Amino acid sequence: MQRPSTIPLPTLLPATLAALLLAGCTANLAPVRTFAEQTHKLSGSFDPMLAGTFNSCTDKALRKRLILAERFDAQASEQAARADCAPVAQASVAIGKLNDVLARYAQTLAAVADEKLPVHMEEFTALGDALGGLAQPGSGAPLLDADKLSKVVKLSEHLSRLATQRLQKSALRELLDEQEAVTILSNALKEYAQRNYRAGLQDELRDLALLRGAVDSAAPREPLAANYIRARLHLESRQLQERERIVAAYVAAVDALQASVAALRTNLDRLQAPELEQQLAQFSGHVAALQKQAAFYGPARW
Amino acid sequence: MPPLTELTKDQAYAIADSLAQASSLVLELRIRERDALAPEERMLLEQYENHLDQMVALFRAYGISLIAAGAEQARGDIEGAIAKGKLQLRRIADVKAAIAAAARLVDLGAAILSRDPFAIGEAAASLRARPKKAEAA
Repeated sequence: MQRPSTIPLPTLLPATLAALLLAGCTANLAPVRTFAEQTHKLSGSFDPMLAGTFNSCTDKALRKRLILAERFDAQASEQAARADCAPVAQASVAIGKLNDVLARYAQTLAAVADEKLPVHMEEFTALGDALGGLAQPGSGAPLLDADKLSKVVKLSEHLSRLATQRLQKSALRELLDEQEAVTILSNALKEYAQRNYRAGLQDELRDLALLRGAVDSAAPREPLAANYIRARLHLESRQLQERERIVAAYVAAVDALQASVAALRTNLDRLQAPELEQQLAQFSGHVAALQKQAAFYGPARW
Repeated sequence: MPPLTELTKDQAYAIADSLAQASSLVLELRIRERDALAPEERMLLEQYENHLDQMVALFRAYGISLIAAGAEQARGDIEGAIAKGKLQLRRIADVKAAIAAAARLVDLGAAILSRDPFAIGEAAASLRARPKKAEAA
């Protein structure tokens, strides 16, 4: 009877050794993961702008009525402000979807560049165990000895790893080929930030300056109330200026995002290129600055 | 509002910004002339402001819809790339599942060769049970 284990394995051994030597140069997709993570954070920092644009519209209306309305009715004022600003909230839903696509694009990139993806060791260990349990009919001796078994398992693992890495690379290529679409989409978000969110803040700031004058002229009659409102307006104005800076930080981060997609796409075959590393570091820096500034999204605190 | 469809995005935003400034000018007038104006006049000015603010919101909303429309094609392209990426991830998961399935088949083969009915039953059960788990993962 032929021993099945002796036929193919010796010819496999040189290949096994060569493959094991090559195993050291596995693709390191860390730069893709960095890009994906920063893009995800960027998308998260944009989100409050959607509600912020609506709030800016209602805050402006309410503040003005609160201070200057001929007949002030809190509930009616709020309802009117919400109704007047509703078109902005409705139109912003589509922008929220654009931002959501950017976040999912980042998630998909991160999933495709997952370093655990090409590792099939656990599965091959199970296969190795199963193969190790095979006995030669009759004698009951193991069909494959431990040394050969381990080599077969390692080679199979390595070949599968290479196959998976090829799939990962082609998936990344396809995602990064959407560079132009990513640029168009992120430009739309940037435009929303500048033409809607920032414009709303500027309207508020302009009114604040006028309202301060109105409160000043009422101060002799109502000094305590005037002081309270003046302090409040001062605080709100400071907060609005900080919010305007979020827009500048967001624009800088989007510009870095666009440059980073381009750099990743160009360097997909040499992900450790210094210029790519530099570009991603710059992107991360802008995103960190944006996140820091994003603390001012919240309402003004005393 | 059919006439609006003739407007470009830049025009829509320029109009919105001008209307917002006009609203501020009315506010300024109302504050400056507060004592000189009759209450009815002040209320009228307040109404003008509210109308202007409503128009600002409408023109800005229209601008937003133009921004979104301009990015619609790009959004579709990225959605397509995301779907393709997920498909590749499925393929990679299939490779893992195939290796695991091979191990279970070998177990079953060994059990059959050993003619041990208990081991055969166990290996067959594992073969039946696992694919469900792989699908859920």
